[in-house]
Amino acid sequence: MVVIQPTPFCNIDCDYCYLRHRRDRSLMSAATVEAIADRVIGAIDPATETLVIWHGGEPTTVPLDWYRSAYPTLSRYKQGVPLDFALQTNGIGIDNSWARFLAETGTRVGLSIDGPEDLHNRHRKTRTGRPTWHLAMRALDTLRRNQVEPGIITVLTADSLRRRDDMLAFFVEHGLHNLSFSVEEREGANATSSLEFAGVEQAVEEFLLRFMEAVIIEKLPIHVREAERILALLAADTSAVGANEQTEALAVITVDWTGGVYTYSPEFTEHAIGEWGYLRLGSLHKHTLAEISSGEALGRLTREVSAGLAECARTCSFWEICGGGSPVNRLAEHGSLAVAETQFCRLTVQATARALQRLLRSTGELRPPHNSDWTRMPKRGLS
Amino acid sequence: MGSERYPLLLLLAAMAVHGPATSTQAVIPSPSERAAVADDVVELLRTSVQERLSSLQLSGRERQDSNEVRRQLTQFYNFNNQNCVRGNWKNC
Repeated sequence: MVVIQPTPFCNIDCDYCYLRHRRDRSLMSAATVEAIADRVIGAIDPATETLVIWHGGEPTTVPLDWYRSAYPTLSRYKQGVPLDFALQTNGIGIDNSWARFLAETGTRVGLSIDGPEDLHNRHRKTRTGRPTWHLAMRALDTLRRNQVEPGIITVLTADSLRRRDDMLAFFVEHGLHNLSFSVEEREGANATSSLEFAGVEQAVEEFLLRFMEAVIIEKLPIHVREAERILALLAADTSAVGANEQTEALAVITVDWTGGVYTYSPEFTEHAIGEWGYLRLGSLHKHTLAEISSGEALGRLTREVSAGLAECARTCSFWEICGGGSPVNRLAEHGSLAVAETQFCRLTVQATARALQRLLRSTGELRPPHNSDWTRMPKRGLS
Repeated sequence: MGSERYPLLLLLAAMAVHGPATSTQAVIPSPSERAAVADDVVELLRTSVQERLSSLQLSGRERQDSNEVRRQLTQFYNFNNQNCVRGNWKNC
């Protein structure tokens, strides 16, 4: 998985954003794209499935012609298995040209929508404080008119936890079926979180439980990514250990707009300052991936991440379904990578697992009355 | 649009044909009990999921559903989903 930040710039100013450089309008140069192709994509076995994720900043603030040039450049070493592309966007810049391009290139799209208009607009605003919900919804329509169905990332804040029914009604009304809940975190530029109140773990668990209960009772074709990941692991009687891409060196390679290289958590880009400067492992303009792989910075980082994983394996009862969580949250919350549990752990894997356990104990009662018809689910538009 | 998948939540709920019906309230641990049950959550969950799979596989009248479940699970293991990332990175 290769995460590319073509620009640090974002065209809006969400109050929970972790990006420190979101006012910086810098753009990745063509030389850096060439370096990614030569030194990253070119170093990956051509037969290996590889996903390139355009992330940000807001990637659609970069001109579309830039991508029209970058796609073939990055793809030139992948003669066997084509590169897969994905893009995470706030939707503001999505017009018909963008949507057509995403459809033509088979780029998967993640769209950030925090639910109903008032909840979304409370946190996701322009720099002048103006709302953005209608722009995100316009993007949804534009994407769909071009046969692109996005996955949805919804940030859970203290406000949204209190509005579970409104959230579900919103997703149903708009036929949004592929959901990922991302809890508001203290990370990068976001120094505090609204999810720092007593009892928040139970509140998140309760939100997820009642949300999933409603999905079952109403037979809604809604996927909750975090829940399905755990269920699939358990159904296969397998483990997340060794399968968490944020715990393996160079399983995720992040390249910032200057050519800086990072691994483990992509959000390390926001923490590579001061004593943590070595999180930036090197520059593609100076180093090959082999040099970075054998370099002192990655060695030190790997030792620290490994110490955290060992602590997880030793102390955490959720280890089998988590596989080591997210290193950046250890750093952001504890100032160290060599620790185990974080609030992020408690509000994500742990809350989801607890909610699922309660849910599955209850589904005998939750089962819809016409059980034999459970496969007849509407594909879109449940209103 | 990509291929449609059935939500795993619904698949597993559909499997609860033979399982015990228990109120959600009955299994909510109080805050003081939470730490005590933490070690059991994953194992209880694993057992619940496996019980559902087993019960469905033994059910002749739902063989068709069972085949669909297996197909869907196989798709999921292949991470053939429509979200941005195949794994569990939170920000995509």
